Amino acid sequence: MAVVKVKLFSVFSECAHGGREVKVSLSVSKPTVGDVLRALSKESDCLDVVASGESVEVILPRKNARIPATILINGAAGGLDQSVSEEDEIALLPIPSGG
Amino acid sequence: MFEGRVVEDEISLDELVSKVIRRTAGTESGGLVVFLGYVKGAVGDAKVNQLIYEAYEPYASDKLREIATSYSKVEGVTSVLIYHRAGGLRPGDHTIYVVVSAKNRELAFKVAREALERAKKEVPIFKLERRSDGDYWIIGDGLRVRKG
Repeated sequence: MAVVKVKLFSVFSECAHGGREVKVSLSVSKPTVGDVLRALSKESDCLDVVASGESVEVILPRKNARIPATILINGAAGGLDQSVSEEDEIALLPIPSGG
Repeated sequence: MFEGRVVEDEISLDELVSKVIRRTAGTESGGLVVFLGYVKGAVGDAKVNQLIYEAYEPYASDKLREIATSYSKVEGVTSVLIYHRAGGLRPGDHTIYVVVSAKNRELAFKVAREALERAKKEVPIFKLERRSDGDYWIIGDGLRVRKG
């Protein structure tokens, strides 16, 4: 059993109920990033994370939007098969919009 | 001098330019390129009231530093500075500074353009546009998704 925190940025943060993070509960003790995203999608009625190969998109049904996303694990790009623990910082980010 | 980071306050262009010239005078550099971004006041017919920039720190600063220092290995480039502001900014406020000095102007313009594009695409900084017609999340280079 693991509880993993996922940080949501930009438009995705609207799915964090006023905060910045959501807690995702998993029945496995050493989940992969893919496990976390599937659990997040199942628990949330606000977003649905779709992975195809190594590319990730987030569907926001209330906004009728489909947005390419990146996953960072402790600041570095993370693959879907990468294992994570409760101590890791996972972030789900849309395409940056700086400048 | 190769630096990059997220900053809160506006930076004096005069001080920035003077700093680079002091550090590169005495080398083969004889010119520098400055790109300064600032907040637009309008998007189409809508008036922009504020842009809110959120940086995912410390990774945003790490990435700005990584981009700037990647040019330290490029022959002829003598300085790259990239600073990006975070927080709530109003029309006319500075948003991003890219300053490049190099041995020749062709290289300085090329690196400045490239560094700016990399900063926009690679750095985890996100903006919310507060306008007269509502608030919009900006995704990438121009996709807008209404907030709420």
